[in-house]
Amino acid sequence: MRIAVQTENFKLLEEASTSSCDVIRFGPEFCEHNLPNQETLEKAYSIVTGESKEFTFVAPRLSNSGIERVRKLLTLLDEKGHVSVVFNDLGTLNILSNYKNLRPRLGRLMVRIPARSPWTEKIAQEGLVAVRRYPRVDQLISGGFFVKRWYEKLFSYTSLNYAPTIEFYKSHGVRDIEIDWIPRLFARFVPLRRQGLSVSVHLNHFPVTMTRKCHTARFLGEESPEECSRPCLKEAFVLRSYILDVELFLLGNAVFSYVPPSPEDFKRLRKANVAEVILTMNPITNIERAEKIDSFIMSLNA
Amino acid sequence: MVKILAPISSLEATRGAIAAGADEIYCGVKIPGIIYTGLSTRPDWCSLQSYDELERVVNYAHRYGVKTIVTTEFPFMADLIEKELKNFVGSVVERDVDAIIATDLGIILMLRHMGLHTPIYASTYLASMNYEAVDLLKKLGVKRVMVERHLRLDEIREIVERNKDVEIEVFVHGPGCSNINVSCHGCGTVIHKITEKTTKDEILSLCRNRYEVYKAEHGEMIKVADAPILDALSWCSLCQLPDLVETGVTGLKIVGRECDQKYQEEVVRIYKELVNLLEAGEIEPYHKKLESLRSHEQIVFACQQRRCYYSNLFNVPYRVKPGM
Repeated sequence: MRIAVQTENFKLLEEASTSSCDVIRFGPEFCEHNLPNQETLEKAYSIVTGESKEFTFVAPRLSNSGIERVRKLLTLLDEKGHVSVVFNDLGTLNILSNYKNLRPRLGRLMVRIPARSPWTEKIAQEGLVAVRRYPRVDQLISGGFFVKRWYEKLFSYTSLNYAPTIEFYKSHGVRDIEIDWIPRLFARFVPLRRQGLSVSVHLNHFPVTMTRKCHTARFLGEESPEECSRPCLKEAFVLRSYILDVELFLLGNAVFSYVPPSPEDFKRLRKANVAEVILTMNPITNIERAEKIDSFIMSLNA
Repeated sequence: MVKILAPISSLEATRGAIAAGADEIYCGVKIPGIIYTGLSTRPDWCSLQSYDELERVVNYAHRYGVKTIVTTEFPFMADLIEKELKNFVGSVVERDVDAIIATDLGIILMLRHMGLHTPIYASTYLASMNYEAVDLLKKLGVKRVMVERHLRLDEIREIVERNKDVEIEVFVHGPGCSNINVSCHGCGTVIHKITEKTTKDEILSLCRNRYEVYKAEHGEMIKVADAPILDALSWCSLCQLPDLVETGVTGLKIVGRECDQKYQEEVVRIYKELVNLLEAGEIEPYHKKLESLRSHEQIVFACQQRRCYYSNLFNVPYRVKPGM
């Protein structure tokens, strides 16, 4: 299993390049305003490949102007040779076909995952409650599953568990896909491998929601996206609601949830033949040093 | 001519919306065999309850030359639900609906495979935020694209200009999500009494609640605010109507299948009247009418809290700062 490190911060990329990871992924997953300029991307590529590591570029959801910026970055990368590009937007996928050297990777924002709901486990349990409360719906539903079974099954599915969707992406050159660390999904990775796809899993936090009306920027009184001081590169917030019974993590324009990994989950992940795990360096994970990456890799191998 | 698309949830609401001036109506229909899961953004009570009811709605609308558009509702496609969705699509097509709104790439692919003649419209769930995304959907045979709410007017204009052969639709009124629809897994969730503080069938939305906000300082968690920090809900676009019409969008869509019939009728009437004025070039009467509407019960809340669609992305309610 390969270890990839994800960052949108150039200084952290320099730090990660001295670690023992296999791949460094550079670029913002969530906010187009954090896209690097061509000069920074060029430097990042040189540092990573100079350390004999694989370089992957990450692009978020994009507006029209974001598409134009990414187009220039892709042109630069295409000249470098075979580089993987994570797309989180149909528009990026549409233009990727113009670059013969670039390998499209399906970003996790392109995958619909019901289990990202912060209430997943409660909804799954609610199946039984629904049976008791609504006697008319406790009949066997289509496919012959009981309500609870239906809920449980549904929340282990993603939008990739549909053959035509997979075929569509494969016809666009996609061979690598990315999904979140949500243990109830692991069993569904195996069929994806059988369909010739290589699965990467983002460790730790998974996105529950994201916006263009950046929650952090509004909270901190930023005036506009163009003039934003990028507080997301420095700090994250914890959000607690007793009423909703949730604890969430706010970083920039995205809100995350967290499922603590257990050794059993790692065993299940290995069984699912996952090709790569992705460790993110950001203010939520608080991973800022190469030593921390190396110590994580050692613990994973142990 | 730009069209007004009205939400409806019953035959009665259809009559009201058409009388109010709706050019097209859209609705959901309860899907037999699929238990409501809390995954859709709408509770099942705001959908038509049967195919028979859909048939009556379509027949009524067609009598007035009004198109009926049905949404597939389910926000993601997987083989687990393919059979039910195919049956659903077959049933609504039999009732002569005018278009189907697809909420997932997989659903578009399924509809194509079914070889239907009914046009496919792409839902906001396809998160179309740029002209290249719209171009890809066009290649898939999609006839109309609902673009993401979180766009600016200049971005909408460019999307329209670069995709002349596909219709572009925008939301104009009603609860406009704080987050990007397809990326949000905490909105519109109906859950049966999930905690002691919530009641049965309450619609829970992450973005509409207050949060205790903490940040880490010297290894300790410090509370810095207690605020509705995720609330960036937009509601109204009456002031932007001249610019929106000028962009060349095909349709102005009103949100509110879950709202009461009075709302569904009045909002359609307001937008239709203002669009008619704009299309007739009567700018002064438009502005007079707009001013008179600021205290209208369907508008006043949006106006007071500056919950405007398509404005500066950071210019939204609750610009709280830490410590407030």
